[in-house]
Amino acid sequence: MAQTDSDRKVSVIQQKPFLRAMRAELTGSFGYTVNETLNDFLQAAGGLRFHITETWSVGGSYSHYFASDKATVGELENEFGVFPERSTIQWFAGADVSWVPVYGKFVLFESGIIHWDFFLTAGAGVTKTWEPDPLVTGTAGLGTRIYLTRWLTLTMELKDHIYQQAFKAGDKLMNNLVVHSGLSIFMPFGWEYEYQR
Amino acid sequence: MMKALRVGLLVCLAGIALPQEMCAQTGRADLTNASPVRGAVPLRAERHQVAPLVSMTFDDPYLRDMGAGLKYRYYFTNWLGVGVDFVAHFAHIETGLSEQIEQKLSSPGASGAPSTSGLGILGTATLCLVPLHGKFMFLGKLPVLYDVHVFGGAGFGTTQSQNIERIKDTVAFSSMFGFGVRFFLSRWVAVEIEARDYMMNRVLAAPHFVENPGTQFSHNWMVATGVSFFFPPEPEREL
Repeated sequence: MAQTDSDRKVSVIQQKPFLRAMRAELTGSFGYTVNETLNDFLQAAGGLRFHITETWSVGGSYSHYFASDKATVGELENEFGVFPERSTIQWFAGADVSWVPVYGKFVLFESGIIHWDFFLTAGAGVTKTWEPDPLVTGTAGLGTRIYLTRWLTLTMELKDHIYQQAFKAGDKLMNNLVVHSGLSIFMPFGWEYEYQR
Repeated sequence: MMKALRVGLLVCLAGIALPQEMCAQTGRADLTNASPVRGAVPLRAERHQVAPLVSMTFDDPYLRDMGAGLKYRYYFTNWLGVGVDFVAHFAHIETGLSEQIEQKLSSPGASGAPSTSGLGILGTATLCLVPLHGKFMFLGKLPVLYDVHVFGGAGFGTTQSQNIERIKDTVAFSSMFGFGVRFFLSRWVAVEIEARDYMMNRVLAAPHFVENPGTQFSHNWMVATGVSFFFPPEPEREL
């Protein structure tokens, strides 16, 4: 019986569409702090990650901050006559461990199937504020990669940076919640399946 | 001559019919132009959705609002629905900034707390689009169906003054935009989480010595979560 083209594309056991194990991931992204009421914090960030297995990886990242005042600052100064003390962030550098508990696929406008994964991260680093010494920072995050090609993904992450900041009124535990969006390049660019279909 | 013509016609018809018959016998079909998902269960098409939800605003400078509400949708297709949303806010929590202003401006016997106004009842007529849906494996074992939806609408919003002698309660036109993700626990129950932005003219806060301050256009972002129930409980299945 002759096989059609589509017959040849269908296997009883589907291969995983994207393999991460033993590959490096280079990420460039932009970030924005979503829980800051007095400053607009935009970030340019870069990271390098190595995937040890399909689910576990380790990586490091650097974010450079660009700060500007929100309208609330003007209101406080002009209407209330107060000048609140605030923390201005200059940069963050850190490392983390990542775990991928979920992978999935979706149909976009019934046009085709797109694969993705969901990951959690936990790590530590330092945040440089206006204080002379960088502040020890713990991080926790969650994110997703949408696979565009065998070596390129659209990567989004929500990461909380937790550190202790000293103010005149006393120490305060800070939560700097950042949304990152960018592209990741996986190297090597391709792979060979152990079992060819 | 006629007999030869009849035999020739039969051979031609058999040649056309044979491949289709073979496909039917083996259960195969040519997938070249087939839909990306075959035999999908349309979990939204021609169904009603009712979802009680709770919400909390974020990115608020002076006052954080907590609310509860109800959302109704009717989906004409698997990707298009219309409905209404109501959220009523029952608790208002001062942010750290409000507390700092109060500390800074208070003097013995006189509070410097800012006058603030929170969200009251929000009601909108809503259009909902579901551009993508799919499934994922949780821990490599548990398959979960989900969708991502975006929605927008228009309606009204009320505000609740926390200092009624200085700031009046208001009712204003409100527009709303949001997006969310829904995870199906069964074919008729789902949990969902959404981010919504209600845009309206309102008073956020004013110094303690100002009465009846002017309104300003403001974004009111909130996160909402709830459980959705779809009716009829069993969706129509495409065969």
